[in-house]
Amino acid sequence: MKDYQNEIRKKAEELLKNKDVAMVIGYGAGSLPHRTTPIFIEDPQNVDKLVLNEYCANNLAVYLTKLKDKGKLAIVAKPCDVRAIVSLIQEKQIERDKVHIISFACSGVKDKDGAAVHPICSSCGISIPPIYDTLIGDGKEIKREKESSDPVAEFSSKTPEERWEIIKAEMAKCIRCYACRNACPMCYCEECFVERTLPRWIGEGAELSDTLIFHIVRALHAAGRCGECGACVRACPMGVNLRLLTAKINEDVLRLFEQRAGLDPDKPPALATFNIEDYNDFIK
Amino acid sequence: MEKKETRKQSQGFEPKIVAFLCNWCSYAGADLAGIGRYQYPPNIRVIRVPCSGRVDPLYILKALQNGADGVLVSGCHPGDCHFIEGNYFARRKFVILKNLLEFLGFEEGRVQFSWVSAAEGERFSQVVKEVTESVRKLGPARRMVKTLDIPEDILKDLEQRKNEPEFAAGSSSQLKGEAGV
Amino acid sequence: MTMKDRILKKDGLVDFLNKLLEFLHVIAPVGKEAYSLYQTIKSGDEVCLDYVRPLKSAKEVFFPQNEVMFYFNQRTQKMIEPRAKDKTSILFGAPPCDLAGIAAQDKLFESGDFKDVYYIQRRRQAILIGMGCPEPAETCFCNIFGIDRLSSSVADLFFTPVADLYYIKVNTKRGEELVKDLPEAGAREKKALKQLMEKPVEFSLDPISLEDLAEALGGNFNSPLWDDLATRCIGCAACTFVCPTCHCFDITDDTKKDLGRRVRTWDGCMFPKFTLHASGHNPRTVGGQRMRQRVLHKFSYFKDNQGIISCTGCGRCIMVCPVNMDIRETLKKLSEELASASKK
Repeated sequence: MKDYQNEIRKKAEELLKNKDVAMVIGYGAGSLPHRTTPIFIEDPQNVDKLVLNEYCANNLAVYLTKLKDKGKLAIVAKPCDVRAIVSLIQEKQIERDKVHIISFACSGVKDKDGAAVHPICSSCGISIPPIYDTLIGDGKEIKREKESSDPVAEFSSKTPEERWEIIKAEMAKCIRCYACRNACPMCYCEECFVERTLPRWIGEGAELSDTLIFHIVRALHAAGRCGECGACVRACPMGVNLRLLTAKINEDVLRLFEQRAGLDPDKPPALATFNIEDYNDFIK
Repeated sequence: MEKKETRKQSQGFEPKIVAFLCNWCSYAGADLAGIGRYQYPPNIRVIRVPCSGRVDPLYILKALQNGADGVLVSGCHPGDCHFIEGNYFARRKFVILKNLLEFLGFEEGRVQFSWVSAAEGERFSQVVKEVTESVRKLGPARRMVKTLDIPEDILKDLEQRKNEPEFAAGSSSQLKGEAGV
Repeated sequence: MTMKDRILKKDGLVDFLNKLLEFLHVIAPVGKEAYSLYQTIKSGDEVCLDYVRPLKSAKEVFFPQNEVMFYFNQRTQKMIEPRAKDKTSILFGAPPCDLAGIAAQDKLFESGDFKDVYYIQRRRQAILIGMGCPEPAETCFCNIFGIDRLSSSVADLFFTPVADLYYIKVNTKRGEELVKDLPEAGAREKKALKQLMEKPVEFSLDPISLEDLAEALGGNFNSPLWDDLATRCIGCAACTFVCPTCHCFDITDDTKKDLGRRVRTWDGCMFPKFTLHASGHNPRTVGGQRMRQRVLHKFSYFKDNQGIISCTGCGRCIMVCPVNMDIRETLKKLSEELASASKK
């Protein structure tokens, strides 16, 4: 992925010089080992700040909804980030011709310790971008070491009581900082349900019941829209296993509605459509 | 499981079930059950919604948080929705919610769904009977409940009326003093 | 009478803590999967000192994330506070950055006209035992605030790991009570401690002039720099909640018919709705406004109001930020750019 860095810089410079885009959103050098940070380049002279390496973990699509007033935006996006962009296009949050997607075939990003490829990347179902404007590299799929076990299947094999104990322990870690929600490109609501005070849906502090409802509802709101980019998991300072919820929902959406989020900008998200023959057996 | 059943029955555990009924079909069906004098357990508390598609999973979770032992959501049969498609969208939402809750360790049967039409008075009473019995077997819902958690001694203390007029003028306790209470 | 310093062999720590546990609550760092957290321990062997500092600061011991202020009954018009804990608490293993954070919160909650009874109740009955840091971590920058990583006057007792033992500096009588049976520190141990203190260590941030910074900050309220800085920030409260000095809170009532409780919970100035007024007006809708407020509050306003900077250089915010915002870079950048802007 490091070879792509120069190509990205060249492309960014070209786009900015020709005034094709108002801003390039990409990755810059981080202040900590194994980290990069989002950067926003408006001056073609600054493109050398752009980097691309195996620590480019953030999903930069989260900035698209915030910065769309700047004009056309170019964005460096991994295939999973492109899924988020596609979902945003499906939901009319950004227009297809207002974003220039610079993407590439991805070999996975490393976790914060810099050791192995992040588990999210090991189970990634898409390593080439579904759409793009500029493709860096040959776009051929890069084989990745798959995860040794399926976390959803493993969790499902436990008894309900065991699962409940694990969930309680995970929720106890949560400090309700909302880093997960804010890092997610699909959480773009101007007022989140947790901020509503009339009526007040859940309390502010870290009580188990409130925290659990927050995570369940957030996962449900992302159902059919979640591109499995792992931004929420990586953003969490306490290491809450959010993947259990999102992976389970994505699995159900695929199995029941035969759809995966963020692959076709012309299709509606799974929960915004229906099939007359949808699974009905669970209803009396 | 057997032991639990007997204990609950002898203690007379009466589950509280919140039922979201769509105005055009299920609520009318419930009404018809009443008109037709079809008996069903009084454990359900009905909340009328314009369409089953209106029911946000958040409401179902909130009901569980506030102490509901079970939640029933009932709407028009697919194809008969007063708003044409509302129940189709609802069907997708609900299957995801139900699967997720059971995945997280909630007991199967806490949250149930049905399609009941306006003509199905007797059927409505049947559905409610089934739902109530299955929730009764599960016992009180404890997973998501949030209580005020007031310690027993403080709770008792709070019950007693204030005697000292600590509040500003116009306090009710002062008036009570005058009345000799 | 001067209180004598003591020593405790490292392998005697578990027994020492178990003795304390016989009649006191002890809160100490406990190991989790990838970090440690301050938790109440039931046995001395639960303590984990593998990490330079626990992931969350010690502020939650005296200023918990959820605190019931009182219970009430609207019908009887009664309000009753929760019963206070009888047992004294010991906070063990707090590094100097966390102790400095406690000192900052003491200033806020205890000084001035409004004294926070909830904080004071917990704080005053607690005994603080600090733990020194032989080596700073990658993200530590307590040095620029004049915080000594190997001593703290905030703590009743201060443990410094030296060779195979802890050198215990006794600062208060309450602290002395707990260690009076331990052997006194002799000349050899004092020398070892002195050597450790004089050993040069490298911090990630060179000292910057905080006076100049405070002045520059105050004079550049309208700089476009704030918006630039804030573009990256996603507006969560990860930095706020792990910070030892951040103290914003919200108060809400939970009610069920007549009964209720008033609860205080942590809040964060980076949340977009933090400054939403009842009228609907929000003076800080733009990220740059909130970023400016956060930096100015910590490095300028708090200094004006309470006399100290509301940052202890613990580096947690840098560790947890999902987008790798780095207050060290922010401070450096602001020092340089704002100082030169002021001069113009």
